[in-house]
Amino acid sequence: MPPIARRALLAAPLLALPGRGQAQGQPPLVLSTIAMIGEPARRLGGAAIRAETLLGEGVDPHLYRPTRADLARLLRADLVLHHGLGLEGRLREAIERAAAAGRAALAVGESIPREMLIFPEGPNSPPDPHVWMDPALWGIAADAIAARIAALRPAASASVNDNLAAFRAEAAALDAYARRVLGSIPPERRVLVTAHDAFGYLGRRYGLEVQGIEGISTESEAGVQRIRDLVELLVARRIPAVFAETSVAERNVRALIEGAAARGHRVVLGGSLFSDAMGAPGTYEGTWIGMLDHNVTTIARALGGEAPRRGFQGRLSA
Amino acid sequence: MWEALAFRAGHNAAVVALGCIVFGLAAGAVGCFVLLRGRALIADAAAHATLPGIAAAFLLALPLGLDPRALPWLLAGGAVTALLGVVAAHALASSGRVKDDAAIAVALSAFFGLGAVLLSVVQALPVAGQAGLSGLLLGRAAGMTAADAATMAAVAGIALGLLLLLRRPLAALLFDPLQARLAGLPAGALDAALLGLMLLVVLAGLPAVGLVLVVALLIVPAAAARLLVVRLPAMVALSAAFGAGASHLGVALSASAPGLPTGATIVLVALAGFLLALLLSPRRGLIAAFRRQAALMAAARAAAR
Repeated sequence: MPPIARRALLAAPLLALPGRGQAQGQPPLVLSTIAMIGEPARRLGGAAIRAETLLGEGVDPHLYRPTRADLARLLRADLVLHHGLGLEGRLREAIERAAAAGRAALAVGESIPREMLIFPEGPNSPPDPHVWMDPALWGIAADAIAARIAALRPAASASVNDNLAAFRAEAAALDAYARRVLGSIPPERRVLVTAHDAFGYLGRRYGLEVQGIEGISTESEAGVQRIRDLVELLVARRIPAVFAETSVAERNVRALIEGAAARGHRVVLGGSLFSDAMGAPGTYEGTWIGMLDHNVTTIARALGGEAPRRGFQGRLSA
Repeated sequence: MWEALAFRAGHNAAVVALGCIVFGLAAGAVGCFVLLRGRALIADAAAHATLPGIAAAFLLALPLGLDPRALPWLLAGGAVTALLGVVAAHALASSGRVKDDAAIAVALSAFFGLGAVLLSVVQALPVAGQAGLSGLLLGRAAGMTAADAATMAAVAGIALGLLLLLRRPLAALLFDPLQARLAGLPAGALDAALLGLMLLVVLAGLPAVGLVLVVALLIVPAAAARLLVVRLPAMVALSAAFGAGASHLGVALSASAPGLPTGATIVLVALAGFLLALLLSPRRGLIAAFRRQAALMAAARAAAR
């Protein structure tokens, strides 16, 4: 069957029920692909929307393959908030299908001006999608999310604006905290070695050198040489800690620790960082602010900086 | 490159190299028997049939309170479904309703398909990314720890040891099944033992080259050795050396150039060796065949004159 016909068939029964939630007096359904978008959207929209997230705790968006049920959920949403910038490798087609079926969609990451993005392999290569690591950039994304929610529920736009102001104030406080605690790391130790290359924006904003074992996407495989070069770096610069990520296998990180130990340099696992997925919904680490607070606090403490154990609001689980 | 070949490119490269060399040795030796017994396709089916077992072991580990990332546990799960896959293919073929190759293809795709479905369930779980199951598809040798390499070498070593014990009856099974039966050798049990050895090698190779490519190291060195020598002991020795050498060279290349995935590099090195054997083999090589033909033509022309 040609793709157009198949798409029409798939969409037809669902098209008959546009905005079913709204018609029944329920608030509109705003479906986000990743929790880094979904949690701020829930906070900004408040009671004016029903906020849901497709990918749960610890799920890797680079590799995730959508199921038919996911497609059905996308086709039922009144607004789809996805990240774009090449993050959702295999979800993209399903999102395009939802958009072709008339669902409103916003690529949140792409609302950030191009000149602020990092293009790791030159200006014509795909950008690094992990922009939520920089509170200033993610604030711009929050503006775009708030604008779309206000457009969806004009009656609630005043409360959405209040929520946005509170959100940006908290993000600014987090930003100042991060600058302070990461700045307290001795300069020669400001090197962040992680399982994959997800911390480029964090590094740029706070002056950390960032080295991922795997590339920007977890789909790339690290070769033996990459492991070898990183062990060399750890030993030469006497870096005390490396970091695992909650959504990536920590085998490679363990291999680094072993390699450095064989050279007589003790490296510890500094902790698990949230990179492409955040903590359990309902916990502080399950919010975007909490996720960054956890990362910044963990990195600062493991690399020899000064940071309170429970983060800038005293809310991290210890 | 040279320092990697001499195991002086650091702890990690040495660990990966040693694990892969023991695997290559076992794969090359066992591969000869698999090839000569006509079991190459079954080996591929068994490799693909490990996928649902790996995914199921991961899913079962959670309620059982085990560590779902532990390599031995995942490999044990893979062994169970690989065995089921081989038995299914065998039962289907011996029912006489489908041909052998079709039966193997059905078993391979059924088990691999089931594995893909289970992986789709696994990916939505919180700990899924941590397990790195996708690394077992195409192999992820570079990040191997000493414990992983030891697991791999132990499994491959067991296969190698068992092969040494069983070499005489297995050889009899290959070359003279009738004589073997007359001598009272249980052909069915020997065939099963050969399948078991093959399974061990497949499991040992999963972390390094992955389940899609593991069959290459079982078959390619054996096929190359077959082109070069005639007698079985020489073939087994050559094939084992070839498998180990390709693994060693593949790891060394991957340690010396950026962005070369270890498993695929090993397979490509083995294939390059096979092509050389295909060209240069004194009896069965393409160049030798061409020269024989040229000599025949010259003789024919001389006779016509």
